[in-house]
Amino acid sequence: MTVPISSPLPLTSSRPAGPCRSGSRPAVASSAIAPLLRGADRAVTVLASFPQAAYLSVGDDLVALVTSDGIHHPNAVVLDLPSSERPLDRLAIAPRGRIGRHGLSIGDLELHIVRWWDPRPRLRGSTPAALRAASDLTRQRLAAVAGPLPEASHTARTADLANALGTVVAALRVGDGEAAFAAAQRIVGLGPGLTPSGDDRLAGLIAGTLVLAPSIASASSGGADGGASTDLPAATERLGHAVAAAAVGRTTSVSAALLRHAASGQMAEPASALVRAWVAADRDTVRATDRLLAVGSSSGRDLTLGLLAAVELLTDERARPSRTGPTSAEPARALSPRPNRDPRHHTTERHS
Amino acid sequence: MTDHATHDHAVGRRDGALAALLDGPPTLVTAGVELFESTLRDQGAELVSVDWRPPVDGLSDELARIAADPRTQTANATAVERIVAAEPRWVGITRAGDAVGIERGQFLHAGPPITWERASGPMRGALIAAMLYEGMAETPEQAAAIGEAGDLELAPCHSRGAVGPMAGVVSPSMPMFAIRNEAFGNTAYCTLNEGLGKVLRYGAYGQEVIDRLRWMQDVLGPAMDAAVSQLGSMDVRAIIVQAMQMGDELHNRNRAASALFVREVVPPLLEAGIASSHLADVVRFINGNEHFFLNLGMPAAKSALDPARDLSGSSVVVAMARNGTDFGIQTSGTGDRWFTAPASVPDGLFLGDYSAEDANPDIGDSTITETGGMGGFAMAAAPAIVRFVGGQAADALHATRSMYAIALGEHPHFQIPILEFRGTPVGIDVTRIVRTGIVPAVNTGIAGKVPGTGQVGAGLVTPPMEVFTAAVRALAETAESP
Amino acid sequence: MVDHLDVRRGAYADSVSLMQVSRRVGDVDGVTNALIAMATELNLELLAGMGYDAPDAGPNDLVVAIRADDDGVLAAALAELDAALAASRGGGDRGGFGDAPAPRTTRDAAAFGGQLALISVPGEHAYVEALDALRAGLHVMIFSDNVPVDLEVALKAEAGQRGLLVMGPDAGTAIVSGVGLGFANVVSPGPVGIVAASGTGAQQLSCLLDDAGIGVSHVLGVGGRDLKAAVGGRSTLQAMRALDGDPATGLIVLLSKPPDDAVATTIRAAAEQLGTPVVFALLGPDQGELTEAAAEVAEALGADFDPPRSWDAPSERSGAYTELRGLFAGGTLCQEAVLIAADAFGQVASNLTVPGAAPLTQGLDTPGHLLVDLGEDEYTLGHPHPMIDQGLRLERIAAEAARPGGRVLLLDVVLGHGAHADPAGELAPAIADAIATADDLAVVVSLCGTAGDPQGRDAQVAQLVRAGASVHLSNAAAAHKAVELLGGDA
Repeated sequence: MTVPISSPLPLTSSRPAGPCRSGSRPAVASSAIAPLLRGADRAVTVLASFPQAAYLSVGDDLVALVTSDGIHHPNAVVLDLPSSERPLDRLAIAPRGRIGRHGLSIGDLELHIVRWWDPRPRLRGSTPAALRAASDLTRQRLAAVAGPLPEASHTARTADLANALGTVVAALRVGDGEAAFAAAQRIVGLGPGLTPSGDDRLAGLIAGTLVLAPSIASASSGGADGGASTDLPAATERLGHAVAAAAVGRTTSVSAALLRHAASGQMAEPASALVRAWVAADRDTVRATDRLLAVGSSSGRDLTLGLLAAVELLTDERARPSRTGPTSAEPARALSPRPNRDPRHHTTERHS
Repeated sequence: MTDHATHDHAVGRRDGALAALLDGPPTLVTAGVELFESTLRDQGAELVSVDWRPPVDGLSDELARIAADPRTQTANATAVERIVAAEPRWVGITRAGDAVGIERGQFLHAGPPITWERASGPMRGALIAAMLYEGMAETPEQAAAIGEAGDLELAPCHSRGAVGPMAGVVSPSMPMFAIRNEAFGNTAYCTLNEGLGKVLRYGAYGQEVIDRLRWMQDVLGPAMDAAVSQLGSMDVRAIIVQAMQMGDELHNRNRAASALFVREVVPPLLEAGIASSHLADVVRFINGNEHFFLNLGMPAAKSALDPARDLSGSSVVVAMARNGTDFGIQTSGTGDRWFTAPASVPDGLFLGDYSAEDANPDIGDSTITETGGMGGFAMAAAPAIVRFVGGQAADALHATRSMYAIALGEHPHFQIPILEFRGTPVGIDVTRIVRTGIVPAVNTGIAGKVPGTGQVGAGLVTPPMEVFTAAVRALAETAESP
Repeated sequence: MVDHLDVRRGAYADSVSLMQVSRRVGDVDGVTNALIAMATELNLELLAGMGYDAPDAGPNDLVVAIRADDDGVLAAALAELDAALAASRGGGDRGGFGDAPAPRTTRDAAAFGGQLALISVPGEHAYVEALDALRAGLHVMIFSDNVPVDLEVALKAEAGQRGLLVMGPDAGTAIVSGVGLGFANVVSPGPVGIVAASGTGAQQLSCLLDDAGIGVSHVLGVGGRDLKAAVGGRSTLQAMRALDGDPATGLIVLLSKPPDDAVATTIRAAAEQLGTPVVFALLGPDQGELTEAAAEVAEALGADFDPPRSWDAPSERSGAYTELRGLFAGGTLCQEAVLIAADAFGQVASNLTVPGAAPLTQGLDTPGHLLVDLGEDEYTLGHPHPMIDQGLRLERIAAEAARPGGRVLLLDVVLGHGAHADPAGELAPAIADAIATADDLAVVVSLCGTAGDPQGRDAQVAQLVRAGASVHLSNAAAAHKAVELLGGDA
């Protein structure tokens, strides 16, 4: 037995990484953008550049180039340099670059991908009760630390956001896809910032539902609500794609891209960490909540609210003893028995 | 087929660490080839790298055997638990003959076993003084002759539940502090501190030394006894805890502790009804000696460490001590065995005109303080000490911080403010010393090699690595297989 | 000519770093040779062999021996040495108020809160460090080999009690959530979890799966001895449990040599109990090849599997080849080739103990069909592993080219994290040279790597083909090609 020795911060020294091939730096990337990075060489333009992230457009797609201390967005390439070393400074004056063949070059940065991560978290089994209990901790934490909402001057908007999100949830619950879409449209693009509040809440709701549903679907072994439980993720996915498609032009391109990823259950790493913490139940939910809340000026909080709405949607849905049939025109799509394990739903693209 | 996901959920709970491993990019510790550390950093992995080096003396087999011994972990844990649970209290003054069971002609001394032949100047001088004090000889020459003739019976203080600073010589008539560890009921003893300059413990044997010893026996001892009887007992640990937060480390710097002791002992002394002619002398005596508390702190540490002895398989150090010729250690799992090597001359700052040439090799049982989580291990609490031992204040901090690597625990009571009240490193493990190459940090007073010179300086001692490698070999020999 | 010998006490660096330092110093113009190494018995022997007197130094001391043309060169070499040593050592103790001393043991490093310890210290020290990790609640990957089997069992027993996983000892490859540990390739995330008792086998399989667009969730190396009776497959069972509970893993592949019988039964029984399907890829005679295993995995997932790509050599030679000479860096790759060659020719000479392999009679010069794993101990004492350094292979390629007659040279090139930065850059000239100077030499290269590997697979392939080799992403295909060139059964 050792009496635990109290630990300060870890000792990772910022040692400059060695170049891999002929001067290129190692970078880590989301597998969601693998097709862009591994495909043929294409041109890339800088849309916007900030100390911790630069947003690059590749045709209709968007890639976030972030510093090591930046947010791992679901479409991010992460540098091995922190923002304190200002690696993105020169991007403003060199707005064009190339992407493809496992690399990205822009400005004075030549990057080669040395590791992939999957931005869609695969979660272990949980139960509605456990999920509610864990997410309640987040709810409490949010109430305790969030403070006044920044849109205090837009009190009407605040109410709009909350109402509209609630309406989306209610509509999804009863399977009314059109009503859900209409409510969502009210808040796409609503709010200040690179990713408006409305978008972030929707992203949280949609992605959260998609990744949490399989986690609790398997807990109730396909009982009376079997039909209802398989409808919801499908309906949510449809909604997500519709919202993302309609978002182009209604909101910033950065935000529209993130909505597209959300429609596939792909989320920023701090959001991923939070849902994992909820499901694991023995992990530090409060710390994960704080990490997500720290994202952006209000993005973190809005994503959190979206994720909490997902939990409501999924767990209240269970409580309803019966439901009317789906009002959406498309038939319910059955999930495979081990939904998380079906590789065909994986994000990996085949290398041609 | 069982409900897969319920199974999944239950399995998930039981295999928490196994699940957590695969849930996301792991945080890492790397030890060994630097190539793998760099490929991991390239991938943005969070990692802490071990500054690894091979153990001293190629002792890999022995270390593996000790680590594989099923008794070791529990034994070590028990040892540390006992050490930090100690509640040392001063409960009385006891005549040495009664306290440690020695009779006329028998003497205890600091450090591992020593003979007159091998003893250094201060040790011989102290024995001469003791013989004169006990009336075994009339002149120093007669006393020396007794020593030469081999007619002295000597034993380490440690072997009789006692400790002594510097030469640490104990003879039957001397009064001793009795420190009882209330947590375990064992008692440790130490003579009272004579003060600085020409004193027995530095090997002086002039008449003034003998006179003072008699005064301590006739006046000081009884006065202290009366005072402590008034109190019932005095909480020594509380003084240590406070003094450590006032800039003392309790080995080489005891100023605050001694002042706190005076504050505690004077009221009962006044109430004890001691003859007023003696009272002033007694108070002046203890007040004038900034190291008076050392002789309470040392047995406090001894009383804490003794219950940790004799735990089979334990590699915890229970004693470090020097006799002016050898540096020796004992570990919990090796019983009464001493592992010794030549003591070196401490390196530090010298008083006045003195230099390293005047210095005696390291001497004293005072390294019991380091063994118990004080002294050099608490140097971060006493940065002012660098004025005496040399170096910079940052070195004092570094000394303590390095010691965590060779200790098994942190003391819950001995806390160091500058380290955010982190507990001092405690539970020295010989295997960790051999693995890391870090030896215990000791700072100490330096005795003059000519008997009776007194203190010539203060500095840092590097314990010889051989004593720790020898202990590791011994533990490996008796290690049990899993 | 001037000889320099000095000993630096208390200066430790790991053997791989020191070999790189020696290389840098040796490359200084005018330096005949340089040995910078810890003064182990072996290195002291090497030193004596170089003509130096024995210095007073032990395994904890760094010895520097440089033979240079003159003092000026020596000065330059020593300067280069200092620069190289400084570069190889990262942080170390920093002074100042706020910095704690660097942790010297795994226990102290683990206090900062890690999940997995990667131990690659020399084998005799690995047990103690690994135990530190387990007791701190960390999983362990032990790259080190030469860990006594009883200590391996003790570690795995302790890990079992704590619900932790021990990968290794002798585990060269792992991938956990995309992070490559040891020698590993850059692989896309996917549903396949690999439990492997072999490093290069896991590398080959993960590369083939990546190329097939299937991807890998995790690769857990259990060490070469885990499936022996003494160890009983403990880590294999633990790894299978971990993967079974992992939502990202939809299929588990167990990759190893055929286990001892009792162990095989236990493993199969455990596999039955899992919710995740398990594919057994056991390499042995009549038991299939790694490429077949990859195809089987694809089939189990309902995915397509095209034959892994090959690139023909610019021109095959006469075909009057009489001998197959295989020089391998990867143990399992060599093993797979031995099985294929032995199946075709009846018997081949190898340093591996594999069915169909006869011992070498004249070392690397043993005539006839020969397939050697140059990563084995007898070739790596005092030399870096061929994954990192091509030196020994370059020598042998030249040696083979010098022998009269026609032969087929079979080489593996392994890319990925930790491997040589440009193996083709070093091998291609040697191959071209060998083909040009030899009587009749065909070179077949088995290239284990993904499109994402840091070396740049495309460029590596191109260089090797230009040099005259045929290149195959499937090791089995390469071996079959070699056999075909020799007129054996395809």
